[in-house]
Amino acid sequence: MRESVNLSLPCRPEYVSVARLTASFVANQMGFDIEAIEDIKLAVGEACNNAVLHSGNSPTYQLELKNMESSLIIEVKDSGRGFDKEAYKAPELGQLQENGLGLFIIKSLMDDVEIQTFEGNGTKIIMSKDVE
Amino acid sequence: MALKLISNYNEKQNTWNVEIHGEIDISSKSTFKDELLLLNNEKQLDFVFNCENLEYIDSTGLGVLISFYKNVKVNEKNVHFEKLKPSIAKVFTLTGLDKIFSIR
Repeated sequence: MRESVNLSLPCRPEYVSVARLTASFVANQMGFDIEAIEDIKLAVGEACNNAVLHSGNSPTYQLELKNMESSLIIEVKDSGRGFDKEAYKAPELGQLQENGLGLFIIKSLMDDVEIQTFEGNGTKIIMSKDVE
Repeated sequence: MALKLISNYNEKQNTWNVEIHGEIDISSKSTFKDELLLLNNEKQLDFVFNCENLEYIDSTGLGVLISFYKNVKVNEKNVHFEKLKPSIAKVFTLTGLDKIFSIR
């Protein structure tokens, strides 16, 4: 790993844009093209939305952006309730569902996505995108 | 960048024209939703969204659009989106909303 950026963010909607801007900046520095930067920005926004919405009483969540030279690895970790990922169902497109789109978007835009979740012990979304 | 909406009644077309400037995300979605419902309560018409200056939309913003679309459909009206930036069009395509919403 060349460098990493770590942020501790308040679990409040108005700070998610700080996470998005930081991710865009790092992605730009690493040489991603405009389309990939937009993808990364949205995936980070969705992961942070998740942390804000499901953080319970925890005041903050953590964002880490790891510059691996050939790829960017992003980790978003909250201390919320965690969730049953086996029960997660991808939304059926065309069915006009208002929920469940966030994770679907992340999986569609990033090259690799891993979700670690433990009931009562938070959720960590680890995702990466390769520099083309 | 915050969200700014410029809404006008288009007499000729008999539509609500809404120019969206900025970002629709988890922090601005409530403002967006309230403004749309206000217009729809005032007069039930087709909505035309000019997205030339829409910089960003996430799943929470799409959720507002989906639920608003359902509201509008109840009155047999429609929503139209114009001038989407490529990054926004990509999100609509990814989520299948390009097949449901009228995009021109």
